[in-house]
Amino acid sequence: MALLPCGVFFTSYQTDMAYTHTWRQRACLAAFLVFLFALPVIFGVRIIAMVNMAAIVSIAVVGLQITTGYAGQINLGQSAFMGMGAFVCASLAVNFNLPFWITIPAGGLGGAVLGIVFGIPALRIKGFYLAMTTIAAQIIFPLIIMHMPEVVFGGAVGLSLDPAKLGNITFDTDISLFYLIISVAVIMIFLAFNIVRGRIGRAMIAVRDNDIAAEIMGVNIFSYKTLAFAIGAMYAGIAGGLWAYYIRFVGADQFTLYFSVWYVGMIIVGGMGSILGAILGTIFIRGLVEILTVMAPIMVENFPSIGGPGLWFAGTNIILGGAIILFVIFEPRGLNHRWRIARTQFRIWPYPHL
Amino acid sequence: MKQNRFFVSLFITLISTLFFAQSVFAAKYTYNISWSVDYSGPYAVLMPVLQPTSKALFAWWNETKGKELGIELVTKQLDTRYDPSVVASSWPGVLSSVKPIAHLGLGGPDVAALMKRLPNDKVPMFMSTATYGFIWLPNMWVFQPRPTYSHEAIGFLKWFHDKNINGRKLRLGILSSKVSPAYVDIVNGFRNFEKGADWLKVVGVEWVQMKPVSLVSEIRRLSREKPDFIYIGTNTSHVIAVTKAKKELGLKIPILSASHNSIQMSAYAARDMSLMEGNYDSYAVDPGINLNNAGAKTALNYCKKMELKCTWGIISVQFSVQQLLVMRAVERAAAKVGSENITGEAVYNAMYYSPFTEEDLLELAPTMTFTKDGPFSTLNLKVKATTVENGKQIMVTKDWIPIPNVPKWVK
Repeated sequence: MALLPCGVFFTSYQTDMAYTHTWRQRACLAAFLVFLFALPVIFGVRIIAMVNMAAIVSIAVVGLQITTGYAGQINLGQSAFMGMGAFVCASLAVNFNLPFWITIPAGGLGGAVLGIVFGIPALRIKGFYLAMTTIAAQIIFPLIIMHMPEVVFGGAVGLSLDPAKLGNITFDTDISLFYLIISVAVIMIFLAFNIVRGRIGRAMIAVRDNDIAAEIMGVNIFSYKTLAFAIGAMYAGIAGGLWAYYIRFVGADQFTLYFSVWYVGMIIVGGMGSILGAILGTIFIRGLVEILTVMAPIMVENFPSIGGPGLWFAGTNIILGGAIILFVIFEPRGLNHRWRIARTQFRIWPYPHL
Repeated sequence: MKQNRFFVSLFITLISTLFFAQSVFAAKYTYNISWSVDYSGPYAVLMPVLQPTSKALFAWWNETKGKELGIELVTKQLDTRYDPSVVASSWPGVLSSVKPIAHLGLGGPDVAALMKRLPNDKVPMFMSTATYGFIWLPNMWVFQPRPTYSHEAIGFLKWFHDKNINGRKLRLGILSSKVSPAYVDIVNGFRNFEKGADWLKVVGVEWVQMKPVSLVSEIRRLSREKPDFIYIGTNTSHVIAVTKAKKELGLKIPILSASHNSIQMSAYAARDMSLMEGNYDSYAVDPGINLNNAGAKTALNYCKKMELKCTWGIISVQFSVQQLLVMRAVERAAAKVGSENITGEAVYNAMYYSPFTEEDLLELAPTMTFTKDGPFSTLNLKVKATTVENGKQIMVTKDWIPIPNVPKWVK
């Protein structure tokens, strides 16, 4: 429970449950949203492209946070669910010429259906065994794509799609896509905050903490475990839909186990069981990847005698893996915990020692 | 006093003239070429092999043709981790900061992430790999120095059939994997070609895992169909596993592999060339075992001059061809628009002016004629093939082997 400034109290359930409690919080949120949508004015296209990719990934990672962080169901198939969303979205756009505001939600639905299929075993198995089941989703996903009739998902060829359009606006540049991606990301994150603090979220947390006790209390664990997978995979599907419009070509080999593992890494770094943690983890890992991608060629060029390109570029893997290990050892509650400490210290300043 | 002023003025004039003359005669236009590399992903092992040779080749061009034209080509590396998301998010930065006139792609992630946006960005991308059926599309800004993997294998198989097999079809067994659409595409290419060919029959396809423990049962099943060759277009693990399975089963069916899992690469992975005895590989570039062609001599001379540790082989050849294509395109663009006006679009247009001859490509690849029908040259396609005899890799023929017409299989 976050500390509130002296004098802030609630007289109704609505005010207690509101996202923001003080005018300062509302002003900060508004300022943040203005800043977010003004990013293309402030920064160059390179930064915007990074933000675009981070925003797409963050939607998938927020979904994973709901499945794993809130409901406690380990999931190593998030990338496959994202892929299914991308293919469903691309297929509807290519074969039926449907607009993005139908294809992207449909992609989410496609991801959710696949998520449910692989979530059903969660009733009987957990932990390591569930992880293996979700890895199976990752293995089966390319086979599904390649064995469906070519007209559905493009088979081995993949699908190329035209840019998303809304009236006269064509989302075909990094800047225009930024507004589409960031709008969807804001909506999805807002929904995620709502899901986890409502009845569904509380039931998921109960299942995560002790599923037998939850069942005794009347929580239908089959429904909630399946729902956790469905919601998590739906988020991945939405992210896949955005990916499809961003890259404009989808192939089965773009959604690998490697990415699913990284998504788990992102929620570890950000902090399990927190939507904000998922976002912070994504920003941290994607940011680190981008920094290393930029820095490595500079180091190679300016310090050719130190190890050569092999050292600088390969070192990125060590740094990324090392970051996750360091978080597990020194801050297992993730960046979200650090953020909460910093926020509380700011609020109770000048008494930060409290 | 007046005399002193005169001498000072004369001195200043002379110095200024010298500086002006130097700047005029050494007029140099520097152009950047962005380059996707992978030091932290699955192809990290290739990078130390191709880096020194590339460095030598660019140094050679800058000192020879580049000097003539007043152009310096500078490569800017981008470690993509072989990840399309890294390519997609980095590319806008590459465009704005590097301002490349061409991009050297590494593989599928570059094609997937960039092929749709290159026409708008006006930057042509050059690949080193063979093509896949699904990017055999018209008006591409992607240029492939090699036709599809299916083309490369069919060229050799046709030659082998005509020379060694009379009165029946060549029986081909294929070992592949469904983990990547690219591997499935190669098989689709064979299947489609087989329909119209009176000399080739695909007798079986075994789909296997990427890192199999043993392929004995799959090879036993395939061998019942009595194939003349087993084609493997996937990876070196499969070549080694099939070689071991053949040994266990006492079979003598030769393996035909592509460039990335070629005899050299598989022998390198197995640390034993003798394991490859009797196997074949074929591709549309020189195999890199002849050190006397113009390409090998040029690259290795510059390696020596620059004190670089270069290894000449199929990997360095295929990347050299990719880079030579860019260099020759820049030369043609300079001739057309002038050294000072080279842009990505000028390089793109230059790809269609006239054929790139074998001489242009320093004998490392056959003559290529690019058209807007597809990303690779479809005229007079040729391959070279090698095999292993007595533990030594040798050329199957001295000359290039023509590839028959392979119909497009992705509509």
